[in-house]
Amino acid sequence: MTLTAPENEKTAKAGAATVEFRGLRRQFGNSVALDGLDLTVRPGELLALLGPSGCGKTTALRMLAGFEHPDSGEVLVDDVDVTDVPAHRRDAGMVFQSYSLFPHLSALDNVAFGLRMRKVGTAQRRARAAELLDLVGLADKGERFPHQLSGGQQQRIALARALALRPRVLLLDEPLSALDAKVRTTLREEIRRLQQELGITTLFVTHDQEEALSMADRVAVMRAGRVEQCSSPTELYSRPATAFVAEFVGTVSRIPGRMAAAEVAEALGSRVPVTGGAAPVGASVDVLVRPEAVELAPDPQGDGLVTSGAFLGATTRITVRLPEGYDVKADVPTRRAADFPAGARVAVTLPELPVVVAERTKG
Amino acid sequence: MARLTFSRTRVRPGRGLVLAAAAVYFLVPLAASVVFSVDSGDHVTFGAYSQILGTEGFTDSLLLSLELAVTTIVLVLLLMVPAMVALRLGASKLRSVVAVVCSLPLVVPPIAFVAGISTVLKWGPEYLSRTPLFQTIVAIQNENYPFVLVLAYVVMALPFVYQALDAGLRAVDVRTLVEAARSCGASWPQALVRAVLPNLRGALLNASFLTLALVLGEFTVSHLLGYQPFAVWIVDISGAQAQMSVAVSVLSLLVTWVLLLALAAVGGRRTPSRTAP
Repeated sequence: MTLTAPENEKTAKAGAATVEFRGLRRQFGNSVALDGLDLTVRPGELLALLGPSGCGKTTALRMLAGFEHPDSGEVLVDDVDVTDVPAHRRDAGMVFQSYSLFPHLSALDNVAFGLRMRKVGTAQRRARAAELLDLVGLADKGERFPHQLSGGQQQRIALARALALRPRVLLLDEPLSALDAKVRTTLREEIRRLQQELGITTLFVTHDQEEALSMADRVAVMRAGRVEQCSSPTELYSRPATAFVAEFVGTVSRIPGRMAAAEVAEALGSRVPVTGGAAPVGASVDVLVRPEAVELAPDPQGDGLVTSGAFLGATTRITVRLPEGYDVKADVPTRRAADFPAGARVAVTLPELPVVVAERTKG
Repeated sequence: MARLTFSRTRVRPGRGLVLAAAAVYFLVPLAASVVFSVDSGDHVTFGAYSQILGTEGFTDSLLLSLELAVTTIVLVLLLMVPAMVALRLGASKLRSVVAVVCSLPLVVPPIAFVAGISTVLKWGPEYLSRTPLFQTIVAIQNENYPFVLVLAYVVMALPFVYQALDAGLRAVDVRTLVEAARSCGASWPQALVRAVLPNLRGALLNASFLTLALVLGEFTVSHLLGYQPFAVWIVDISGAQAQMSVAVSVLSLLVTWVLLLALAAVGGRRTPSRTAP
């Protein structure tokens, strides 16, 4: 099913909003949810807030929606401070994690709910709701009640409901997490396409890195109430700014190394450029490498000992135990996987790709 | 609870036995009452029933009970629904406090309760006769519409209303419904009325059923305070005319059933959707 936005929807693009969080701080009892959050969402972009549970990403979203109030700091939409504007005047459409459709209303009435609140006339309301149902590909399901719809359909209706008032900001609070894998993938592509066509500034909260990397223009990785790094998915993956980002996004292995010079680390006999993390020259560090950036060669005299292999399709991820006790993961093409049976000795080398270093965690 | 639904599943022997036992337990006394009320030695007569309508006080007491019931339902729901929703949305620490407070009327015997009420009412002439409060106390004891009974019934209905609403609120995610409505541009009251209440229909209905049944059957408080709603009237005339008092009891059962069914018919109907064609 393809979702396309009619021409009149695209008018939003020109007036897409800028959202800015300034020094947001919020504490719940003893736990700090937001610890001085600064973040800018550019007009028309989809920004994913990614992080482990409890990092404050949902709190940030709820502050933009108006459901939480910051202890200090402010939320700006197009440079206007909206911190004290109540939720129903925020002009932000929201899709919730759990099924949030009104159970007593049909799909059409759910979509029309906001228009009803704005006292839009019946005929106009009905037309607009039908238009939105069409937009999410459920034009024929208008008379169904939420309990008669599948999870994926319910979230589409929720999306249509959120867009009904032509909000300036779209907020998605883990909208796909309750769906099964297949529906999740198709729906996330459709959300992305719709968002791009409408050109609406969107904030998307998720704990699923694959979701964030595949959908977002930019991803903000959050940790303990602050943004750790905010950049494009490619940059986030290939040039993580900190060890936390490197380990949270994608897979990394730690390899013992040493700072050979400023911004150069030495590990496994290679000298590699350091782009994230910092340590004084000469210090012992852990070098963080992606599995695809580790090279293996069968070598009876090698240092590494293959402990296991996991078949991933085109590649096989081989785990190698280094003499220092580190486990390194390396991806090899599956056709070569037979060269690395468990118990085989291998030589591990690093190509000259940029890496991140972190403080040594083992003796 | 009081929502009547008949499933079409086949009755299995074990269940059938239990059902039969229950039916005997309920229906035999009922049938005996009906037989007694229409039996006049050798033939069937409905004289006792036809007499009822003409007996002094029947309409008055029944109407009084109904008025009291309606006011009580409105008042107890106005009191409890916002309170219970507020408990769901925040202040969850207070939930157990409210639960205990609302269960208290079950523990306090009506006789003790009514003794307390009489004491308070006596303050009127004793201490407050020179204050405006005296007029209030007189007003709530109005013979034609004793509002003091409504106050008492609201307290007595609390445990049932609490349970009914609690069960209903458990089944819906109040917070998400309110937030979804708010993000659709609904103000607080709108979110409550348009998004939450319609999904509590069953609970509101159950609460109303239980309150209605309670008010129609309540005897102790109204009798001791000296009023004559329906239940008191039945007892008052039963001393004089045995057959008619039983007939009245049977009739009151029927009246209650009809009212409950009427309430179910009114409240159980789906509201016509307003936007859909």
